[in-house]
Amino acid sequence: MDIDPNRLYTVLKSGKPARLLDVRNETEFRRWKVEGPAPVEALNIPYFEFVEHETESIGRVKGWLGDHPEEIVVVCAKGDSSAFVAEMLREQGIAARSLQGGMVAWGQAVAFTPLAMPEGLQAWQGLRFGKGCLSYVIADGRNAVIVDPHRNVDEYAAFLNDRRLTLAGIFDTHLQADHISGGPELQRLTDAPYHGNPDDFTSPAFPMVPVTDGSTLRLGGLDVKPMQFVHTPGHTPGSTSLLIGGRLLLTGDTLFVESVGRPDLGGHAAEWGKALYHSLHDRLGTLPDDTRILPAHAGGPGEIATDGIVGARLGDLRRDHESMRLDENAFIARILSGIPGAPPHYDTIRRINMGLPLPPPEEAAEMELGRNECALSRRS
Amino acid sequence: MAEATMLDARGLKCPMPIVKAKKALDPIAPGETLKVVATDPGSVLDFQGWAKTSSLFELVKQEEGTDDQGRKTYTHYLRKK
Repeated sequence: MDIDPNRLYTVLKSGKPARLLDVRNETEFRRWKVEGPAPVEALNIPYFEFVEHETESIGRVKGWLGDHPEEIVVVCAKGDSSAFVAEMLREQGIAARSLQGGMVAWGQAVAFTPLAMPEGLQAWQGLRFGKGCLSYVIADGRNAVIVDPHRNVDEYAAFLNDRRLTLAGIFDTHLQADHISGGPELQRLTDAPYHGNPDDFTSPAFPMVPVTDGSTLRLGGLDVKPMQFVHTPGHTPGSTSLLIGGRLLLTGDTLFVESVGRPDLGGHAAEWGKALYHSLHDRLGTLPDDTRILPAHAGGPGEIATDGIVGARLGDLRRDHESMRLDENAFIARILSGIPGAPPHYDTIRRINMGLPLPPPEEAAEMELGRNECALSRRS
Repeated sequence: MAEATMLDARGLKCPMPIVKAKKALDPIAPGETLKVVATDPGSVLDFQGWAKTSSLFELVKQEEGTDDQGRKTYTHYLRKK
């Protein structure tokens, strides 16, 4: 009587009314919870309330359901307490399913959506919906490159396997600070060339192919239009975007649909902020308005376009994006006025992404808890 | 003070440390203490949360330690109401 994370995400995406009963303690519930493209109706009653005050807690659930006895999904950290509560509810005639693997599994799962591509190429955007991280798979029918993979490499291995694609390359747009990259492990498992900018990957503990501005990334066998690296520093000194077929730009954490990547994490907010401004206006300045911007993080449900992709037309961003419309001084002033706290564990995560041994899965999951904190938040 | 009754909840995943703690509180006399030793780090916030609404006990203190097998432990002291 479980529901797996991808299935739950599909239900939430379909816009059908969904009710979630979160049985974690209040602190954890407030810190991070299940969100979908549409608002989710959630109730938090910790499982220990069901242990001590069973009748009263079940009464609260019944009161919440009222005249809408639709199915509810019970959520906890790892899936055991939610299974325990779901069973208790089913005994009372409430249709309850437990989220398999809990929030830990929710934070790891990836939903792949196909992108419209120039002839000869295929690509998918992988949304890690629990975290809001985006990765990409680009293929030519036989070989594939993965951009910004996250640490749960099994997701990518299964995806490539299902489509009979061979991993021919890995590329990280920058040294990630808020989540653990799958790059080092994919490199170790497959020996595929791993590309990264040496300004970020200063001392990788794994073999890395250095990328430079203007150089191309080729996809094994077929002769397809090359993919070109565009150095776009700011969020980090080595941040590099990837231009595909002259039409799609994977921007990493440089430019998001509704915000930009934080330039303050290195402690040089003004200097890196200036670099970011020039990346957005000079480096991206030569690209046509029709270029599709595909970032490495999703901010919110409003960023999902009608084809299910988190992305935007560069021309629309030039017109509407708050940070793109500011002049240089206003842009930097805005950055300096609103520096949020650093993501927890970000220094450790950066060192892991440089090749330090991976911590045990449970510790890694704890380190990555919550949504991405690499975006400069929008003015609220 | 009488010695605390001990509940070994090491190796148990949630919800079991709390399910067992509730049962173990039953035979204890009011004012006496139940000491729950767990290895689940999530138990720290869960015992704090449970204590807020429980009519069964008061959370006296919580301690971190290491057991003889080198596992990190979280010990919760519950005084029965």
